[in-house]
Amino acid sequence: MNQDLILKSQKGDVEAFEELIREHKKYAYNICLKILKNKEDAEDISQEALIKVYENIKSFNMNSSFKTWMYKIVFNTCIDYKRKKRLKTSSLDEPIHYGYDEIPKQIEDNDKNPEKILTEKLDRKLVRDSINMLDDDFKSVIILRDMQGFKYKEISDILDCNQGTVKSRISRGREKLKEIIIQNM
Amino acid sequence: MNCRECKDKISLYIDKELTEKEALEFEEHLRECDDCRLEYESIKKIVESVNDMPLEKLPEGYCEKLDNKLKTRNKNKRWNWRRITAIAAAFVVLIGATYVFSNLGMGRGNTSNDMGFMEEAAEEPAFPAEAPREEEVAADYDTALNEEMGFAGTGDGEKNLGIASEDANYRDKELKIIKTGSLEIETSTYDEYVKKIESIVRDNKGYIENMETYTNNYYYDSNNNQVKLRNGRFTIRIPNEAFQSVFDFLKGEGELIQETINENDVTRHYYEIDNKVKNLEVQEERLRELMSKAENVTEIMEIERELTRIRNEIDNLKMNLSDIDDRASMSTIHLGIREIKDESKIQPVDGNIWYEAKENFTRTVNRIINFVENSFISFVGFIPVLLLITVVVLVLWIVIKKAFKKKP
Repeated sequence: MNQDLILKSQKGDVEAFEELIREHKKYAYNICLKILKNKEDAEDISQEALIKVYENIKSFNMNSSFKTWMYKIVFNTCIDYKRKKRLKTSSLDEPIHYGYDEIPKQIEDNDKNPEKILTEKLDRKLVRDSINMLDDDFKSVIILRDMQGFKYKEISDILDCNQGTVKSRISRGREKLKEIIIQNM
Repeated sequence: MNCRECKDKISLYIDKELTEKEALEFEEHLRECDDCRLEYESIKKIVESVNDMPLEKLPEGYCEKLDNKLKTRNKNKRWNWRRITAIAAAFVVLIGATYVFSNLGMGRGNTSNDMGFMEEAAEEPAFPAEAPREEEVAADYDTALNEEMGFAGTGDGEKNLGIASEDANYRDKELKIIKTGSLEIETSTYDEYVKKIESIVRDNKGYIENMETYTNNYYYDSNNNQVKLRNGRFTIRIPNEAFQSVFDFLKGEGELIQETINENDVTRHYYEIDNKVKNLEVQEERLRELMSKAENVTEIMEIERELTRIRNEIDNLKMNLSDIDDRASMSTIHLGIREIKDESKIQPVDGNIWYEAKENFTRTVNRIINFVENSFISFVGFIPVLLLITVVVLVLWIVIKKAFKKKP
């Protein structure tokens, strides 16, 4: 079924390609949205990425998974765009992001009880905003793992890194997310 | 398991990436350690809430836009700018190349024309040159040598001997020499002369390959009547043995203007082809043997195909050989005849020659000047094209480099 659509798309059949990406479009858009944090950019870049997928589908190797191959392109397009944009705009525009160990010390200083997280309801806006504040490396794995349900192996294929890195990023990403959520509560 | 290890494994446990043993250890530790349990539960809650996060809806018109982009991309795909640039560049190069080559060709043409013309002017003042690219005739070695001795003295004979001894391999074999002569004659009795040609050719068992008579000259006699003067052009083929006698006869019957004898030794060429044929025949023999041993249809087909190919090659080469044989056994004489006015023969002819020679000389000089001028103009004219080609190649190079860099 999928194979069929891929073969047709390779011959330049647009309808077949649209069918092929029908369910992926939304995910692609959401990945871009999370990484770029801007609806217009997300729309443009996800479409650009999907067009790239279409243009490069001839070089797609049937033995690998189309899904991971496609998301790899989406991801790379996003990161490329972000890099270019960062070069163009001044760094002042960059939102504060929390990286590996750069979480401000205040977190520990403030009285918010970590147990609050268990007693209170986590509303969606809070979670979404907190995810947005994560560093890109962590954000990527959280999006892929917890929002889109990819397996560790697939994530390592998409992000072009080994599974050990994926494991530690997921683990640390979740810890950071917890800290940010507590901070934002 | 200590708390540090435990915290590292929370995520893996949630994602069921731990081995069974590790999972059991992990659960055991959670039961004992409140801190870790709290940590585990909060992370789990976060993961669950992230799992529950709905995906953002696609913006309105997203699919239509994508569809449009894909379709236009598809249409443009064949004609994207990189392709267009490449095609344009190819065109420019093609045009440039054609231009250069046509110029070179013209140049060469001019030179050879000029050369030809100079020869003409020197050797055959009024008769269009045909001698240089004549069909050749050949004689076998002995006759050729004898004729050389008799006709042209020993110089050429020595040359032929030289060739023969050089090619030791071919020395004892029959020489293949293609012999061609050309004559330019003036006569006041055109019809008689033509009849004599016909009879001597017939007597010597030759034949006239081509015969042509035309008028291109008039003069007015004392009574002011217009008299036509004829020109003739003959191609005569004569057996080698009779070549010299016929040639001398034709020369003696009119006023000689010009004569050329040309001998072309193709012996080596001939025997090389001959050897090739022999080799191929051996190969053919071997294939036939194989054929008798062949077992299945594919093998037979394969050998059959190869046999056909070799047979064709042999036939082609043999045709070449028989062509050379034919040309070597019959010599060719190209004869040009010009009719002249019978009285006061020398006077007007001489004037004519001088006039034409002068005319030709001027023409040749003019041609040389023209050729030099044209070459210079062509060269200068080509400079912009060269520049353009350079620019296009540069641009292409940059584009290709960029394209390679861009690829993920």
